[in-house]
Amino acid sequence: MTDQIYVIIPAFNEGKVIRQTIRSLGNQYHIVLVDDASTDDTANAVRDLPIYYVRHDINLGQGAALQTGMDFALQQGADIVVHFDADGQHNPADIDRFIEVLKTQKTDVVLGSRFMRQEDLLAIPRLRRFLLRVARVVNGLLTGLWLSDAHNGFRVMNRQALRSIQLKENRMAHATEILMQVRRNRLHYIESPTHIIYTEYSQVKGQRWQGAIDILIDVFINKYFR
Amino acid sequence: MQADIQLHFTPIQLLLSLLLMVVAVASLRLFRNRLLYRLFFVAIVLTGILFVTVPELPYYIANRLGVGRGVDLVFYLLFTGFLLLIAVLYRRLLQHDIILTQIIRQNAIKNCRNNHARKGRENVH
Repeated sequence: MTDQIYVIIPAFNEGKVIRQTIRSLGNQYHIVLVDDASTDDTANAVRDLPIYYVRHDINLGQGAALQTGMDFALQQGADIVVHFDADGQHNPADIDRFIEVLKTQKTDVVLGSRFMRQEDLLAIPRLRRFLLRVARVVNGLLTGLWLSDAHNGFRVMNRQALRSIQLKENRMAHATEILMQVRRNRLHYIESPTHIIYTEYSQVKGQRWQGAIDILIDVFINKYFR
Repeated sequence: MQADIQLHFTPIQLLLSLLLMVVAVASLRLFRNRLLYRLFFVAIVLTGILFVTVPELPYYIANRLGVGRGVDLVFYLLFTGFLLLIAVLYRRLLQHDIILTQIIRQNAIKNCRNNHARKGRENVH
């Protein structure tokens, strides 16, 4: 029996690139686009593509969109779920490789890392590289998971992880929350190298350093004061 | 230390007491089915009226507590109450956020557009 693989793409105002991103994935996966109340033409851009289109009525944030996608995939009977960014910065070829790692290593979650290969590392803009190194230490201290990368949105997980992980962080702090839940639920995880393509578009759309501080405060408050 | 407590009503004391009583009635109406909130507000209003009508009382309590002036005591209490209020309201806001997220999520999944069904916009369910 073949695995039911669901690729979850959270999107907010990605109308310019979303079509291209989805088409780059081919036809072998179930694609769930979670439109987080975009105000651009995201909905129209994907109207004729063979995907599941799920739309939030109000903008909730990337964490909430991922959780909506995961709930949907679980209901549909997904065996494997992939988190994939809408802006086209992830490499579709990594999906099969990560699924292979998931199966052969008998692990629950495979986390993408930009810090395992020299060529991936050099592709990261210098300021971002510095911020990620700081975030890695913060993540390690908060979650007890000492990974080589932080806040990498490319992940693959099996059904057991899909059932256990329940994101409450609606906004960007979900990346740390996932790690916390991986640890709390005693899920097996492994890192695998991934290449991120930093286009001008993805850099403009991506997080800024002020966002990193916001995330840190969110994570801290929700860990200790929620 | 013996405080000289006397009951006397000036116009401002009467006005403030009346206002506080209005607040008490309003809070009783506002917090329906929330006995604790009602009791808490009534207690605060009664204390307020007591402090307004017997201004020596906060002075006396402040002195006993080592605060100094009665007005300082009232200020500290108000400040602490204000912070507590923010914390309670923020917690409530978070709860509403969670509920809102659940509703939006359920709605989104229910109305999922399945583009695999070639003929137009059919729902998955």
